[in-house]
Amino acid sequence: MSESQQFDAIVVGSGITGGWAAKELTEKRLKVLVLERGKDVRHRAGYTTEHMPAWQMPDRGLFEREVYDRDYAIQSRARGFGYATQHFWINDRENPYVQPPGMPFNWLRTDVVGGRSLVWGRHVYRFSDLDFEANKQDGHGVDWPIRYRDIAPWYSHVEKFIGVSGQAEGLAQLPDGEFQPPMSMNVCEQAFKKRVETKYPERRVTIGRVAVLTEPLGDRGACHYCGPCARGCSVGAYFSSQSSTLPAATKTGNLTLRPDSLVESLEYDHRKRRVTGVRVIDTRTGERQKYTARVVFLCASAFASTQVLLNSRAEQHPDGLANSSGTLGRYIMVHYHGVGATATMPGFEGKYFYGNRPNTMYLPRFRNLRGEESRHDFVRGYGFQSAAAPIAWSSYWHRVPGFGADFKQALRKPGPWFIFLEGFGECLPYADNRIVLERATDRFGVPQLRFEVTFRENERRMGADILRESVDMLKAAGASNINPLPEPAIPGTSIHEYGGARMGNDPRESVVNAHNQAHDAPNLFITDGACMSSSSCVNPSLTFMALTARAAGYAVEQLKTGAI
Amino acid sequence: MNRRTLLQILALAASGALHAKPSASKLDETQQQMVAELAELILPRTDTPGAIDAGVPAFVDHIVSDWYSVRERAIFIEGLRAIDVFCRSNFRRSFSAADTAQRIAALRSLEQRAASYAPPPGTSVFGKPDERSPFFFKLKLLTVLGYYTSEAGATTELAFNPVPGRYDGNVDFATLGKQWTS
Repeated sequence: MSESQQFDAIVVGSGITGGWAAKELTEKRLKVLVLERGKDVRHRAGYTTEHMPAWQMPDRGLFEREVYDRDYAIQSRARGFGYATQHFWINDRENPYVQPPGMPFNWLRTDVVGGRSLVWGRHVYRFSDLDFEANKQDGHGVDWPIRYRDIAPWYSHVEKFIGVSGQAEGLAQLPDGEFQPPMSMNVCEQAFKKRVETKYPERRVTIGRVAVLTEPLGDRGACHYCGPCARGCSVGAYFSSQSSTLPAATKTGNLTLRPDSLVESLEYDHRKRRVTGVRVIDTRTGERQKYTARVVFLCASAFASTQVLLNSRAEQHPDGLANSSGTLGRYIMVHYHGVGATATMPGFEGKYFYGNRPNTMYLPRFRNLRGEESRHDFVRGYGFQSAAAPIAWSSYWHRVPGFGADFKQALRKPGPWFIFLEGFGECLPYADNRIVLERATDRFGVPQLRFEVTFRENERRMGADILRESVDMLKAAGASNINPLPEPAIPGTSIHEYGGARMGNDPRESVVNAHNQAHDAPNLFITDGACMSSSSCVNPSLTFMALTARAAGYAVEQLKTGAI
Repeated sequence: MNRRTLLQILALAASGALHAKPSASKLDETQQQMVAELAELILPRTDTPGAIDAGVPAFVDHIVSDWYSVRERAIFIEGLRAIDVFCRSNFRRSFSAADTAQRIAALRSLEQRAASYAPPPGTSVFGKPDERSPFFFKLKLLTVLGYYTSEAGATTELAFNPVPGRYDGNVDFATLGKQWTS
């Protein structure tokens, strides 16, 4: 293990939060080393399947059965996984983790520079004080040491940079942000919105707020509505580390990015209470190396960052670094999703669309709002993603009988309009929903993560309500052939991951403070999903980015004053 | 020029029709010929190219030979045999020797035999296949998949625009007349 050049800051991970840490810290003139376990993917050059038509793909893009069974048994369950995106996802065979019997968990993750920012769903919503006060109000989990006012300016800071298209709605539970013009609903969705809002005046149906540009922003172009964002976007219409934060960081001249660099653990001086080194394994050669810096940002994703801390064991801290509270690895949360309903929407025959809108509608939370007397048998709430579109030939062909010229002619027309509603429910923080290190190691000798994460009674009751409301709203919207989807997805499938190094004021019950700074190591910041003390029901990435930018600002101040 | 050579030329003509490493077909020449004739029955040449024009026979052969599971391939090959048996017992000639009306009658009988089959909800040509689906369903799926994802099918039979540039969710279908490829 060799000592190497000194950096001001090391950022572990180059995904959504790592990219933000890199941008903020380099722009504040720190020399920053970003360590990414995955292989390099360059903006534009790395998008090898962008706009590729099916006839240029092997087997027309059909999944490669043997390869998927062998190497992507878990990742192939990710939405949008396929020939055109599989090179971004991690190889399950080479990177195993442990699912105890009866506790399936889908850990869906990439293995490239940019991480899941390349393949994410791009929906961005602000948390509100309904979320930041939830733990205090109902007693689940630890109280957040911050409130909406603490993060609001950082939401704005992030939104202005990433570019968010959306519609201001003036809802307390879903604060408005800095929006580019919203994308539009189609004719069927507009009817759905009108009918649902008429039947349920307290509910709102809005177009998704997405980090996809509807107007140019800096060097990035507006969306051209080709559809499959997750292949990569050369004009940079959607936010990714490649399109946005990494170029900004590179421009400063202060960035060093090292792909193929898996962080194994952190070195800690318990007398100085400082992280003194980052131990790295070169994934191509297996060579081990140590890097040093004045400050370290863990941005490897909720579970991977927690894994690094759990694996940073020493005599003085045998249960992992920054774990004097004993809460490290606990209070893992993932969104409860998959429950909802599908249906057809009669009355739109002859109506069609132009362009592939990379967005859905959004139905903000309407349960257990402030001032509402709770009539429900669960706490917290859920929101819906929903979209309508005519059924395409690829899913409709088997409903057109016969063969021959008539069949061919019939298939020129799309099928009826189809609509889905899918709930995303908040998961409560439970101490025994946890990740721990297994004795078994991976190919680098790093102990594997073991997931002990399940949904409980509150989630199940919420799920029953999601199912009821999905069906009722579709009825109210005039849908037919309503098909309830009662089964939640396997935990983890939502890829909305939270907890493991939760935030709190009290070092005895939390891992990081209000500035994402480890209670036990003032020069260590954990700013990805690991820091989350509750999960809200809204998509989390915007909050992760805002917390990262805020923590970076704080860290630089602390460095300047010599406090760390 | 024998049938096999013809099919190979057709496959090459449909540009980019096949990328997979060439491997030996698990269908014999008669079966390959039947696949071509059946695919063309399902999606014939009209004012736009047909299944053979679009290289569908070679695609189906490749999927059946290299991608299908043993069970799927057995169902497929048994289906080819059944349709031939139907022709021999009803028309006293093989499928390949039968005339068009007889072939249509044979394929229709297989469609009827498969009519009680209900595919899993959300079944897409790109999804995980239902191994147990009957022959007619398999044949129709592969023909549809091979045709509409071919350059000829995607760009002439359906509407293809990889870079639309804008979104409009209220278009009269009549102004377009055909659905989007993707």
